Amino acid sequence: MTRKNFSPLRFFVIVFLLVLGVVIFSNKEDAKGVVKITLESSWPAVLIWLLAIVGVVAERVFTTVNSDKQSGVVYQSFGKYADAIFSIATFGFAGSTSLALLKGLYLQLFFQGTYFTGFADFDLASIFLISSFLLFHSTNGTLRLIINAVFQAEANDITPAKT
Amino acid sequence: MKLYVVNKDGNEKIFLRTVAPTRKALAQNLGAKIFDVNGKRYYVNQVVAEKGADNTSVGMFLGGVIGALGGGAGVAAGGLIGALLGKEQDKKEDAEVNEFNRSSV
Repeated sequence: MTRKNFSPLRFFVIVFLLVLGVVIFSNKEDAKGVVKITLESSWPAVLIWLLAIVGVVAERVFTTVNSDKQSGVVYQSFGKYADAIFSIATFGFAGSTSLALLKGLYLQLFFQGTYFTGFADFDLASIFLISSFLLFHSTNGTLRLIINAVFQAEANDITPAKT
Repeated sequence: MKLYVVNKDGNEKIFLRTVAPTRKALAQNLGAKIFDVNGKRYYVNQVVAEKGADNTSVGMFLGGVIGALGGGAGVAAGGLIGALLGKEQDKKEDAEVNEFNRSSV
């Protein structure tokens, strides 16, 4: 790897995940307790909704809306404000609902709670996979909106030249 | 994807607050093939695209954190899946960057 190709962000993420994995692996019971307390608090859901609101508002205020978004059904039928509210609701509900389902699965699996009665193992595995993906999709989408807004904050406005 | 022109006074990049899939589309959005930035005049053909965020890193981070629900192995599996999903986004963005840079007005 040359110095030019070195990515500090990628290096940080790999080191962070290595440390996180080792800490969780070597303190399994403590880690379960911390995850339980975190999931049972309202903060993860609050954080997801804040990310959704900040992400969508930052995108609409600080960046240029691309033509793909302008051709959307909600944008064309109800305007840009309705499209923004719809985007916040989509990210927020997808994230908080998938987190609630994952919380139920986690507490049922590791703490003998009864959240899903009458569900077979296959159904629970399906819920886990879909919820994990939805949570990833929601948080990844909102983070990308914020990153794009930060990138465009340093950008300059352009005006067509008067000939 | 970020669009920029190289400053006429030096080699500094001036990022533009606009988005377009091709140079032709950019000219159509602007309504002109020539534009002004910071008091200097540039042609749409001088605009270059480059990749924005490192989606692979972001995906790996989120996947790993969500995977922490499944313990140490979950962190590894989540990080791997997140990185793969992010890499696909990077590939898509690379293709968009190449399409813009190959385009002409």
